[in-house]
Amino acid sequence: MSFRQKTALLSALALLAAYGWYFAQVARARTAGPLSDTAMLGLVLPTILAVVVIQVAGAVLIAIFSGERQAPMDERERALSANAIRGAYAMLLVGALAASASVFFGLTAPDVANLALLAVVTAEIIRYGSYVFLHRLAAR
Amino acid sequence: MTALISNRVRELRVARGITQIELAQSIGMTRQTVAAIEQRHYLPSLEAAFRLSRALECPLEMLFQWEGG
Repeated sequence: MSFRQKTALLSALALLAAYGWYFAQVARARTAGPLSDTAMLGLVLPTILAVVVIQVAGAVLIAIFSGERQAPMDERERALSANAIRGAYAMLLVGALAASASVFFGLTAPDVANLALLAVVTAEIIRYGSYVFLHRLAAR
Repeated sequence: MTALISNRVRELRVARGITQIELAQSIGMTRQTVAAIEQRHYLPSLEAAFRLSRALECPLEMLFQWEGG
């Protein structure tokens, strides 16, 4: 597994863990009533920080223990990356349309923002996950 | 997935005592891509094929062979 695949897997897991926690907190808070802007900000900032810290620290640890460095993508990696982005883009499109349509169902602004955020995070997880999966598939 | 085009990349690389990493660096690719080419899991672009041909000092038509019938 190359350095890029390892960091992609790490990013997918970091997003899954951090935003899994975030959306669980949002869902819990939402049952008590509409989510305020400040409450949402109080949840989203530590989540973003956690993802950044995990990604940076993880990339450093992977580089130290594997002895590899990030190299420019070659033609095969670019092709696999483009395929991964295609799948993620479809998810992002559906998510953005769903978030836009939710306005007509009486959802609050933070709810719509959370739906849009969910679409972005899911698309990113699909992108990173697909990149690793497509590499494994192509190696068979 | 195995390509219909076979190649002698591994054979020539080993004969010249070059590692996959060294070959990859000389043609601007990753080691994983060189391994995928050798295992016929990936067909390189024409440009990459020419680079391989030059790096391994072997004519293109000797390096890659069509097996599609």
